[in-house]
Parts: sequence; C-alpha cells; structure tokens
Amino acid sequence: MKRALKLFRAEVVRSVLLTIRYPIELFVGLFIMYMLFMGLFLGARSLVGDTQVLNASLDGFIISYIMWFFVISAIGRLAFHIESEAQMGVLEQIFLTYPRMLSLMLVRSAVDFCMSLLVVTVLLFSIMATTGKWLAIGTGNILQILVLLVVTVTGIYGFGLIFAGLALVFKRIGQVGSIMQFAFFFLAYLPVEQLTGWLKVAVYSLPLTLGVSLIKTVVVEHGSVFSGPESWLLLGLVINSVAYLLVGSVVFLICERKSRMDGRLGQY
Amino acid sequence: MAGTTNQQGAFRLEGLTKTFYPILPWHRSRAVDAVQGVDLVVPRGCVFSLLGPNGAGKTTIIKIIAGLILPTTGRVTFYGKDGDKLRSRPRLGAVLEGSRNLYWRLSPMENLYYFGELKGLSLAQIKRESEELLEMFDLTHKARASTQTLSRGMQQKVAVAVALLGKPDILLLDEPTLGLDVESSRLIQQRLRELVERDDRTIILTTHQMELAARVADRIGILSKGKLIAEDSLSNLVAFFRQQDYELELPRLEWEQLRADVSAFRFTEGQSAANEEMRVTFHLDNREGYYALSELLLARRPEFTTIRQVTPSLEDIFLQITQHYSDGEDGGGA
Repeated sequence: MKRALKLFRAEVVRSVLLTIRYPIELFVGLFIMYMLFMGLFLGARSLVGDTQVLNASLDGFIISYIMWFFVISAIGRLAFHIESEAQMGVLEQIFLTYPRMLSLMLVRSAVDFCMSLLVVTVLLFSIMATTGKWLAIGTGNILQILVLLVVTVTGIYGFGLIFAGLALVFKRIGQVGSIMQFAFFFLAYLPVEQLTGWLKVAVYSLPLTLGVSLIKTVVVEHGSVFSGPESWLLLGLVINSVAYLLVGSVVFLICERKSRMDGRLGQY
Repeated sequence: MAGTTNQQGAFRLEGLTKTFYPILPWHRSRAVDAVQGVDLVVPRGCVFSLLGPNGAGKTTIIKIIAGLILPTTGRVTFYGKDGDKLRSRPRLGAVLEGSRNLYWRLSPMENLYYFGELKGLSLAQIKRESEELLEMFDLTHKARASTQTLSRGMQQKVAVAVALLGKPDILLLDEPTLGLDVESSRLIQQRLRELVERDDRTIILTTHQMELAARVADRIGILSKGKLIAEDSLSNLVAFFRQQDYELELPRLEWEQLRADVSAFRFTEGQSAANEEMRVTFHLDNREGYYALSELLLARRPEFTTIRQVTPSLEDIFLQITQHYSDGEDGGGA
C-alpha cells in the first residue's frame, strides 16, 4: 500500500509538472471540449426547435457529455502515454525501474481520473453557466454521484487498458482509439431507457451505458441507487466495471508479454 | 557464500537464444536470429564490455539481462537466482537509449525524483543521492533547468545519474558515451571505474568505441552474428594476440618479390612512416604459423629492416577476431 502511495505521488507530481510546463495544451483542450459541447447544444436546439423540450432533456445531455470526457481521457490518454513514452525512449527506463507495469498503469489511471475530475469540474461549471441549466448536484446526492462516477470510470479505464496494451504491441493505434472514442460518444447518448429485452441487457453490458443511465437516475430523476430496485442495477454496474477492469488487465498483461517477447517495448 | 557468489558471478547467461519473429504470422520466414546460444558468467565487481559490429546482438543481450526482452530459450540468473522472478532480481540501473531515457520536459532533479520514487526510495534518500550524483557529474548548477535545454553531454550524464540512483548492483550501459565530447566521456569513464573499484558494482557496457572499452573494461566479450566468439580479460586477449602478430618493415621491391610466397598467411600491409618502405603485419593463428613463417623468411632471406612482435590494440584484436570468424562462417568453418 505504501508503495502504491509512493507511485501515486510520483505520478501526480509528474503529471502536474508536465501539465503546467505546457498549460496551453490543457487550455486549448478544455476550450475545444467546451466549444464542441456548445456546437452540439446549439445544433440540437436548432433541430428540436422547442426550447422547453430541449431543456427537459438538457440534464441528461450534459451528463452524457461529461461522462464521454472521461472516456476520451481513459482510452486516449492511457494509450497516448505508452505511445509518447515509447517515442521519447523513456518507456524502457520506466519498465526497468518499475517492472510491474500493470500496477503502474492502474495508478496512472487513478491519477488521470483525479486530474480529469478537476478539468471536468471546470468544464461542467462553464457549460452550466452558459446554458443556464444547473444540474441538481448537492449534499443529498453527491455521495451517490461520486460512487457511480468512480465505479463507471473504473470500467472505462479497464477498457482503456486494452488500448494501452495494444499500444505496447502496435505502438501507433491513435486512429483506432479515435474511432472508439466516437463509438463511446454514441453509447453515451444512447437512450438505453427506451430499449427493452435482450437488447437492453446487451447495451447495459457495455462500459459506460449503465453508469450514465444510473447517474441520470440520481441527478435528473432524483432517485436513489443505494436502495430499492436501482440498487440491483448498482450491483450490476459494479460487476460490469470489475469485469472490464479484469479483462483490460489480462489483455494488458498478454500484450506486455508479447511486446517483451517481440522486443517492441522500446520501439516506435 | 562469497565463494559461491564468485562462482555464480553477478549474473550468468545460460544457453541464451533470441529469435525475433515479424508480427505478421505469414512473414515468419523473415525471422532474425539475434542471439545464438550465448553462455556467459560475469563476475561481481567488474566492468564487462560487450563488443561487436552492428547487428551482432549486443543490445539484445543487454535488454534480455534487463528483462526488457524475453529470451526464446535459455535463462538469466542473478547471484544464482532466477532472473525471471521479479523478487529475486537485484537492483538494476540502465542507460539504454542515452539521453532519450529521460523526460525532457522535466528538470534533471525532477527526473531523479520521479525515477527514485518508482524505485521505491524514500524522499530523503532521493534528495541525498540526487545531490551527490548531480555533483558527481558537475550538474548541480543545472539541477532545475529543463532537460531539453541541456547539451547532449549533460543529458547523457543525467541519464547515467538516473541509472545510478538507488545504488544498483548491476549497471547496464548501452553506448553510454556515444556522441559525447572528450571531457564528458572521460568523466563518465572515471566515475564508472570508481563505482567498480570503490563500491563493487558490476557494469555491463556495450560500445563501438574500442578506446573506451580498453580504458574501463576488466573483461571483454566479442560478439558476431549473435554468437559470443571470444571472452577474456583484456590483458589475456592482448597477450594472446601479441604472440601472433609480427610486423615486418622492408623495402617495397623486397616485399613485391616476397608477397606471392607468403600468400598462405594472413597479413595486412601498409606504408611505413618513412613512406619508402612497406610495413606488413602478419596475423598468425598459432605457434605453427610462427614456425612456418620463420622458415619461409629464413629460406628467402629478404632484406628487411625491422621485425618485431606487435602489441595489438583492442581494435586490432576486435577486427582480427570478427574478420576471422566472418571468414570462417563464409568459408564453411574456422
């Protein structure tokens, strides 16, 4: 545990230092995400026409967008770390210094989530201030939201580990990652509640969808996931996320071994 | 225990082979045998230099020792324990990609802190060792500068400092002084010797720079086409080849008359400093070669001005061994 905390501290310091050395990347990224949301929001408003209808679904719209931001971070940045570190030449040094690469990736995921949470907070407040739609987040439901967020994001980072593993073997997988990010954009906005039967179960078994649905339940419908029938869905979400984390970890370990077998760890 | 450790060496390579297969299964015919049956014991507290032409397998071997590449067959043991098991691995430090082993956006001190934390060192230990290492490499004044603004030599020294952090038992250095100015190169060489002599560390060094290997290495291994074709101490290699190399200086005309008769011997020819005479160095494979050449010279009695036994440089030895091995391979056996 002490070692994990040391790793966490090392990764936080590294991440913060690299971010503040090039703040323009952070601000431009944040600005683009904000503008993208505004583009979607204004586009949706012109399509729907009826402002009241749009406002009624705006909470869900914002939640889906924010959750998609975490997907971008998990899928894009974990693999990006590997790609860029292989390109720099530092990946082998990291592996040599700390051979338990999976543990390091899990710690990096946690750090990345914390950093993303800060950025998302800024983004969320900017969006809410611009649209005038303030999400019902308060002391009454913040714990539920955080639990749902952490559990959902765990699954997403598990999925991200698959891409990080593929990056170890194939190095340049940025294009695939980008396509996956857009696939997740579709999933984030999928009206899962309207689906029925096996299709609903199948969609819920994907990462992100069930988590987004439950967060909407808490924030939009003011429901609870700690009691009643929704608590079973929370259990399902936990199982789903743990499963993705396990699958991601196994794929990462297989890819790591493959990369070491092929001598590709330091190649780009 | 000390005796056992000495016998086992700091590490041992047993029957090590490595074949790289292309990632696409239908390209398997393009597989490359990078390392072929290497057995090696490296004693504790020495600098072992791996020499070899490009593509000889030096970097592959060093990366296998580091655990960055898995061998196809064979194994690596450290102090008699299986190198595959992370818990039995000793502390390793490495400079494999030179200055590319660092985060260029971070300062030398920040790099040292990051890698120190990854190594599990305490903050106090990192602070103390980092200050010592930066001072050792004359980098104290650049401790907070961005690494990308440092000169190549300074970056290389930071990379070596990062590798030395945590006092590793074994240090793996792949071309550590490549592209460095003489002063920086000398400083690194000096520090490496100190580490071995004072702290009993073991250093594995790959290089193309013969003078570097000759200056710092206790033992030399020469690789060619993935095989370890020679391995001994530098003094033994020099003594061995000294018995075999003879230099003859004689007038050009004499040499032209003699040349055809000595074609059975391996020799290299050049002009002497005076530029009027030829300087011919005979490379004799064994004592019989020496007698055969002596007999021939006695029979022909050329008007030579000098004959002397040559003390070969490491570069001469390297070229002879690799050339001899290469000729043997091409000719179907040496």
